Amino acid sequence: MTLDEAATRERLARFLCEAAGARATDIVELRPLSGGAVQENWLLVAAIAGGALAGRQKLVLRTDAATSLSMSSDRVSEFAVQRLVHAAGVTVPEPLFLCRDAKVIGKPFFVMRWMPGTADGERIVAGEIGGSRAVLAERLARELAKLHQLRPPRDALVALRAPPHDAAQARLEPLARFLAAHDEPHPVAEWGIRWLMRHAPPPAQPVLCHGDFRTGNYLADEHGFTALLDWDFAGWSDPDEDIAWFCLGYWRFGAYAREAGGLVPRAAFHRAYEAASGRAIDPARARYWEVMAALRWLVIALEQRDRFLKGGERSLKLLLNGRRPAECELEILRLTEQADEVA
Amino acid sequence: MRDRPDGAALLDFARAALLRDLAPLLPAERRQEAALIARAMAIAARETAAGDAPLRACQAALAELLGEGDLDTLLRRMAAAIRAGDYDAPGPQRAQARRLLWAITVQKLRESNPDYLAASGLDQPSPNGSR
Repeated sequence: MTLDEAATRERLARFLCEAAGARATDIVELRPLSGGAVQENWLLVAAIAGGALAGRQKLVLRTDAATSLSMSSDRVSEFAVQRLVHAAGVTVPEPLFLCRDAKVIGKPFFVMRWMPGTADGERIVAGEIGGSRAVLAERLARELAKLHQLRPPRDALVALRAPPHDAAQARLEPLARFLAAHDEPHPVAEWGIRWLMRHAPPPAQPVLCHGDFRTGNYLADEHGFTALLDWDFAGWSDPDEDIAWFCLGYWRFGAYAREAGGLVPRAAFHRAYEAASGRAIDPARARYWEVMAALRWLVIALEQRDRFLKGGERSLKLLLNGRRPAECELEILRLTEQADEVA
Repeated sequence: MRDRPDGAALLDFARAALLRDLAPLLPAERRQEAALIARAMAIAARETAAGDAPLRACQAALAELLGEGDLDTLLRRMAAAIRAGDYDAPGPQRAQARRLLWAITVQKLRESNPDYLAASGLDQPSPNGSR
């Protein structure tokens, strides 16, 4: 079953019609947008007669890239998160309808409003699109501060893992386990793990975190920021984790000197976040989470490479990530050394 | 024997041709793939040019701290020692371990991403980019 088949499109049109409380719904256009390795996004233009969404609607259908039952609950949870943050005033594509029924297109999916812009990090960082990088970074800091106001408990987010008592420990444990079981030695990663274990800051009050907050996961058009995307890693954590992830070297798209997402220096982003949130960022805590971010990306890069080497997925992008860990190792060594000097 | 040009020179030229001549003709959504292919070629070219010398240097440096053994054995020994907390205490041991890890990392980045090294102030930028 693919979305291109006439029968699938017909079922999809019927679902939309019912969900929107419409009299009739025609699918005018349905084509894949560029997506991630795990999700698929489709542009869905529908002509809707009657109901709250009457008219020509430009929408996005988001689903898992592969048919996989284990992933299906993730779409449900992502939809719930996106609904909650949209209601809280974070700028995201408005999520409209969730379909858990795999009989419609073969897997669960949800439908949200289409938003203008590109997520292409190379172009945004190069200044080709997105307007002023400083303005963009400031806006992102405000969006993040707004997101971080959301605290547990939230009944709508029961599908998320319970808020951890210690977010650092909760993040570190699976990473350390992965590396201990990995078939190659990674001494610098071990150096990082050891340091993270011995320097954990006191646990912070958990807040709702994006979990993958970075350049490449927001849309920007010629005027600037338009929407924050990709909520599938959202969860309760330490707010400094999102701030640190945004500053990871890989997400600077080659503009390494502008530490915050390839847009502005780290200090400028911290200041913008502090102004928007009213919370001072402790540089030692931020650095702790940057070490964690480097370790996390190192593990993700190895996992992705292993999908090629061991899982047989023939993607050059996955394969090349096998050569990324050294960048994370440099950050682990640099940041832990800085911290040791301060101590 | 081998005729000229050597593999590294071939890769260098092929990469330049890909980026300069071919990539601009691709539809926008496939240019990223050309960039990835070029990156793979750049790493392979640098690795070919460097030969085994960086690996031997790495093995020798590790052996100084951890005794004899092949590179893989020594790296495993190093990882296990770090995990066991052998280098936790500040002092010359920790400093030597850290220097060694730096050397290994810089050596890897010279091949994998010299621009990252250069941006970190640890090396010279490469003439044609490496990302």
